[in-house]
Amino acid sequence: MNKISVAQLSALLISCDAFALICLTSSLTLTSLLGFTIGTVIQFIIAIPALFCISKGEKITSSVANRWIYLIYSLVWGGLILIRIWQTSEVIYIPLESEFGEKLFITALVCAACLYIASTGLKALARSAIIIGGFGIICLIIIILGALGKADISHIKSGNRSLADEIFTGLTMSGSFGTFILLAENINYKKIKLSALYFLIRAVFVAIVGGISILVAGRIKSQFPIITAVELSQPIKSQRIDAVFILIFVVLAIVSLALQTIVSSHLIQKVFPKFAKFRYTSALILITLMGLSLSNTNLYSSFYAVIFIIAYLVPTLITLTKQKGE
Amino acid sequence: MKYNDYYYTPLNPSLSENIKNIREISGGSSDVLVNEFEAGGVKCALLCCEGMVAMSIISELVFRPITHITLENKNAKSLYEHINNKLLLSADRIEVINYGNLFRTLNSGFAVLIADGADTALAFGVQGYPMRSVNEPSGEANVMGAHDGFVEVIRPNMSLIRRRLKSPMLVLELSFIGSKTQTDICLCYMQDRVPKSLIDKIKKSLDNIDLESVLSTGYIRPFLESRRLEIFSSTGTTERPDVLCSKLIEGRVAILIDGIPFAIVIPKLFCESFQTLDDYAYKPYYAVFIRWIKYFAFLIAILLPSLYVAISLHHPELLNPQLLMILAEAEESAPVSLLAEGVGVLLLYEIIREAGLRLPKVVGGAVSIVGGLIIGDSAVQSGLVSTPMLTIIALAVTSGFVVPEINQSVTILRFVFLFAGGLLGLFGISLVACVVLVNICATEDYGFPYTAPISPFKKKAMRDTLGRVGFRKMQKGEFTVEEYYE
Repeated sequence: MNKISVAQLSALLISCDAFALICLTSSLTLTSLLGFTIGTVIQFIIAIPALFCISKGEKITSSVANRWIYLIYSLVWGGLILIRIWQTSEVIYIPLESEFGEKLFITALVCAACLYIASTGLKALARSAIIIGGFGIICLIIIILGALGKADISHIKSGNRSLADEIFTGLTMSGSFGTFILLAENINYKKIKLSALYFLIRAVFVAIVGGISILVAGRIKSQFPIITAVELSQPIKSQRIDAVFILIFVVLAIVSLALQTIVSSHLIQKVFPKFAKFRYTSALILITLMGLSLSNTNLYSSFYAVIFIIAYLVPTLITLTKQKGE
Repeated sequence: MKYNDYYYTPLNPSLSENIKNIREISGGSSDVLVNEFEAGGVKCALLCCEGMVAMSIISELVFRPITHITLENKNAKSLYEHINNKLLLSADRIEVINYGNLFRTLNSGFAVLIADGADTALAFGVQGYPMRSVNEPSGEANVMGAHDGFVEVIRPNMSLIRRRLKSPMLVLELSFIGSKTQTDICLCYMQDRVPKSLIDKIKKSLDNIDLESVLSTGYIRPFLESRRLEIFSSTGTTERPDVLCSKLIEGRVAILIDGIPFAIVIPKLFCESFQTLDDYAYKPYYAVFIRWIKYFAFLIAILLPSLYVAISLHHPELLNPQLLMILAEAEESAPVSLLAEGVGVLLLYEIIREAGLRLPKVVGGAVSIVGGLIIGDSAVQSGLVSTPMLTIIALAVTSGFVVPEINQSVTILRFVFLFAGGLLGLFGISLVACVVLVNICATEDYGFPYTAPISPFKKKAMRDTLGRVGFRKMQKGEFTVEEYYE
């Protein structure tokens, strides 16, 4: 994989996290925000040994077992991204009428775009992520401005979910965490500092977006609280701007899926060198199959939180054990 | 015998044999003039190509001195020694060793002297072919800057650069490409600003060119660009020597091609398309204003028709009620769908533009009147096309001309976005925007990303990208494009 900069990696991963946040289907409360923040801190703490390993020049993906673990991980996370696209496209107006179903057509179009984007390589996607990040900041400012008039402290409500549940939800939303460890190998620059920067930006971003959603639409029952909050936050009275949200949604969806396709294809190339020529297509097909097989799953199940943590910890342990053995 | 067989064949010591071979290779071409005479008692021939040399210069500076030579040893060696050591004749003097070289120099406006008994020839630069005088470039108009542009002949172009860049660090390397045209090309760079590795890579790319002819910059540019499908070209062109000099100072490499009044610049960045030399003549605040107008115009040129069609067809809730009523009323009488209307008007515009461009100027004006006034007006009056659609397309097209360098890509993208917006609404526009964005970000040549300095982000470069700081600040810290290398 190509070398990318710290800023590019952070922009890529924040884009993926932003997409997962937009597609959040559970209700948002202050407990949720606290849970998400604790989840981020947990991830940061367990990231340190792996980053320490990488800083010493160890390649976590040099072990065949680790490659398999990360391949399955990235395919599962890719599949979950697809499920999020399907779910969220139901509430976003996309003018498609197809005999085979709108979802299938949307998936086909998104996959076709991802196939092309993945084929251009990680560097191109990482450069795009910086520009998308800039665009995202502008959109966020617009949403904040729009939310100013609608925000009300009385919208804050106490939820019936426990803090532990919210921590698990937070962990299930950040599947790009595994991708972070994989991509960190491609940066020869202050990995621990990078890690801190990424997690800090993520925590702040989640706090801002989550806070706005609670203040604007906290009391409204909605399947997608973030989307509802954006729809309610209109900075100009005579002009609706929530269509901008479609742009953000599609762009973030494509970046998230394309990143998983690139990572999966890279691992496919390493695990099955004979498939190198068709690695992008193979990765996308496997991700789609994974998405279809998991389509009825609960995206915020604690099962995924535990699996993500284990899938991350095991390769690190394997690498550390191997290092000690030598 | 064919010309190619002779290419590396050394000259024959026999004058008559040489003349016979030359006539045979040239197929008795009427413009190859062979003047046989005797100089210092040695039989000689002076060859030149009619129309390529200045006859008065040949007579005064070559013929007269040579015919007055007196030699002690009457042989070719002594004759050449005498000419080389005692006569100036021409500042541009080359020794020719084979027929390939002989014909290249002959057809480049040199007079070639061959002597009986010598297996080499002497060529004197006495070019005198007709050429257009240096005048204002047609495509890169400028208000406050210089008004001279490149011409078709390579040497005056080299002098236009040298006149502005007197530093000895400026290197102008001549070579030629094209097996049939043998077109002169000149690699220009500042040796203290460009890494040798970049020069080597560009030379390697040029060496890989195996074309028969090079008659435009478009023949060479694909060989200098990466093979990946690029929407925007990663090599630039300019017809202004002042612009080229600024690029060279920033560590870029340029290629001048004989017969073409444009120089190719490597590497090219996306943000450069929005910069003109006038920006540096105006006050910074005005330059910043104009630059942002250009960025905005670029977006309008590509996205306006597609957004109009997408919002009107699929997302009317985004329009405020008054605007929606106006548009609905205007579109009510249109016989075709908005998408078809948009595509139709855009296609019609492209046809009129192409017709106006290719026809003689006098007729071109008439085409504009027929196309713009008569067809446009009657189309609206008859109800075939709605006024808002015509206004939107006119705005988009006019905005496209604000950044003429990337107008070709903008034209195609406008159609692609229009289809995407018409068929899939904002979802389609976002999808295509993503693909286009990644394509632009994937564009890079020789390790220089096309999107620099925005991505990879270079804070220092923002002073001349998003804004334009004054020269007091600009003079601090030398900038070379090498800073963008990834």
